[in-house]
Amino acid sequence: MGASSRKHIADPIHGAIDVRDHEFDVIDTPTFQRLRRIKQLAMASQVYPGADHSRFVHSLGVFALTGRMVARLRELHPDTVGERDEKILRLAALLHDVGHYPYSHLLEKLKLPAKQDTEIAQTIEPKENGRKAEPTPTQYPKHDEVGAGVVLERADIMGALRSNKVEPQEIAKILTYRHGEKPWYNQVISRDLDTDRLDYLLRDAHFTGVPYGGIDIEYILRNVELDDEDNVCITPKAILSAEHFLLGRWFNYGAVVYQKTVMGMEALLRALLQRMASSGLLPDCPKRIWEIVEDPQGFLEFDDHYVDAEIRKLAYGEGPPKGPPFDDEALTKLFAVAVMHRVKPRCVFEAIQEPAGHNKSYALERFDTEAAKKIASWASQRDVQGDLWFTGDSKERSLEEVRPYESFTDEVDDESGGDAQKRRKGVSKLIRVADGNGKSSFLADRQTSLVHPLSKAKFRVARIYVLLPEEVLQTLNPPDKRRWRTKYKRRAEEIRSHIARDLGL
Amino acid sequence: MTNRGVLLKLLMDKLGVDPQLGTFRNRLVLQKSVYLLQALGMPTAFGYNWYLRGPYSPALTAAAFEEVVKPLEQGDDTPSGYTLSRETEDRLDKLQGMKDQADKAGLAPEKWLELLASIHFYKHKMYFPPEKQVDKNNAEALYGHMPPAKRHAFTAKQAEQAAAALNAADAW
Repeated sequence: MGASSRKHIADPIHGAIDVRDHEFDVIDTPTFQRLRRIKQLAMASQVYPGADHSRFVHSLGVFALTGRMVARLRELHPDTVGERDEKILRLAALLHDVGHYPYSHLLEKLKLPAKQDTEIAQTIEPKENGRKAEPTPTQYPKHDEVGAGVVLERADIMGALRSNKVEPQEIAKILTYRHGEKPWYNQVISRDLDTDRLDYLLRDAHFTGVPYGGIDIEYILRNVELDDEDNVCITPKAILSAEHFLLGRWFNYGAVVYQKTVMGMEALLRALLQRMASSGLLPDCPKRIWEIVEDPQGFLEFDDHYVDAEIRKLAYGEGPPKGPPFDDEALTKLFAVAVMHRVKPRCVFEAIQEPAGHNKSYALERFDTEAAKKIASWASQRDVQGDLWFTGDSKERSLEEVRPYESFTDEVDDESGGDAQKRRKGVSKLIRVADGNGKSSFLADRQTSLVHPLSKAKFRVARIYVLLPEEVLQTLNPPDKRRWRTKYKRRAEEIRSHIARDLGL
Repeated sequence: MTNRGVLLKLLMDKLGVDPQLGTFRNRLVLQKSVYLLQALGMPTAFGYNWYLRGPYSPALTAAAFEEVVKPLEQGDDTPSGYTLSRETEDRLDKLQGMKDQADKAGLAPEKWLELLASIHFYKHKMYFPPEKQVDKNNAEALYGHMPPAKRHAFTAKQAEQAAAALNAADAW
């Protein structure tokens, strides 16, 4: 190790995290400090008040775990894992979330106004009687792509890396999981048992107070391995710990990420953010994000505080929202008040996938085929404006996840010589178990593992929510709380029964 | 299929790219062609970063698979109801004009596309720290700052030829 001095940062999850001087060069940049102002769990703190931890502290946690994982691999394979690998991976871990948006995935996955689609539509011309194309779903660039852009464009981060003889391009490739020369770099920070997921499960459990994060992190880190093809694996001894981790993550979906109120508040905030993007308070197209990344100050201001300040202005400016019916301006204001005062949209429909079911549950089938079409008629029958109805859908999640097209990159293509099978294996995110002879196999393929029968299990929950406008307006001039709570609960119950009857549930 | 999927499918047809994107060559041609078409003003806004083979857009890969390969597998024939607009055809003509010079540069068509996109990226997108400032109009100087693998694959003269081809197409 170099002669640089060591300091540490105290962390409630990992204790004292050792940090080297050149790593402080990165941590101390304004671009990295921005992560202090981005919450890790967006709206989860509306249900779990302790869950206000930031991307900054999560990044330090991933950095700590990566340091330990790579140190262990280096101890086991000094010929493969050297001092430079350790240096590069620790920095990549530190920077893995540097491109995150305010309110994290909530803003990242926003459906943007169709401005860009109008431009794309001008690149093609419809023939007579031809089938018409759908609008292009426009979203912001993924946060890892933005992260790569940050590392490659922002002078403070680049300077901190270059002054320590690290090429920003190398870090950018790891952030986008496309390090072709050393694919195992990608696996340390992104696979089903990686340092990112390990930290967030531990940290989110700690700060929310839910008990699903009690995984045996020490044992997992002591039992990492590299196989002969340099895939990061665990030894068979750590299988139970890996299974425990996967199940913990599964429970975390239901208890935190897709918890009923969290999902409803996120649906509400998403609707508000969409309105803010349409009215220019947030970037209205992907191109604008790249301009912000390149803007020395603009990117630093693009954080939760900015969004919160705009919502506060919307909520408290110029009198209460007028309606019903509510026009666009009044709806934006109504949503802003609801977010500020934590008025929960009421859940009026819920469909849950049976984990072991091969087919969709009946309720989910009805949700997929009928809900979107029927919301307008339910809105009119129940006298709640259609704009106040939201849907939430976790989409299908499994114990382990693979997205095959992620494998199609220049580097991995080069490495695999066009061999599709090899390419898929190279980037597969499934957990591997070392067999002791330099080979490894997927945990999900081991018949003795709990993951084997559960690997086909699916988690999915879909819900419909209604924001009752009178419930929001009451908070501006609150009467007897106990009475109005009962009243709105009853109203939501009536809507729920109506929907259930209409869907034949 | 989406508008963007239709555009990509029609572009693939024009570029001679197999819409299943089954080979590395096909994906490379699509990546570098879309990069250059965006440089010529096509409003698709795919974000590119620098990778081993020059500018590369993971978002384009995702869009191509989600919005072209998958719908085609499901029998979607929306692209047959569309043609490319005049503006897009004009941009493709300019791209073709650049591609036609591959022979003169002594490179295979896809290698030439890689060089065109790479030298353009170096001029317009690559960050140079203050101590490494470079005259961005000087192709040879840009070439001198490229990674060793690129300098091994291409000569300084070829980089200059690429800059001249981009210049002739008003993309330099």
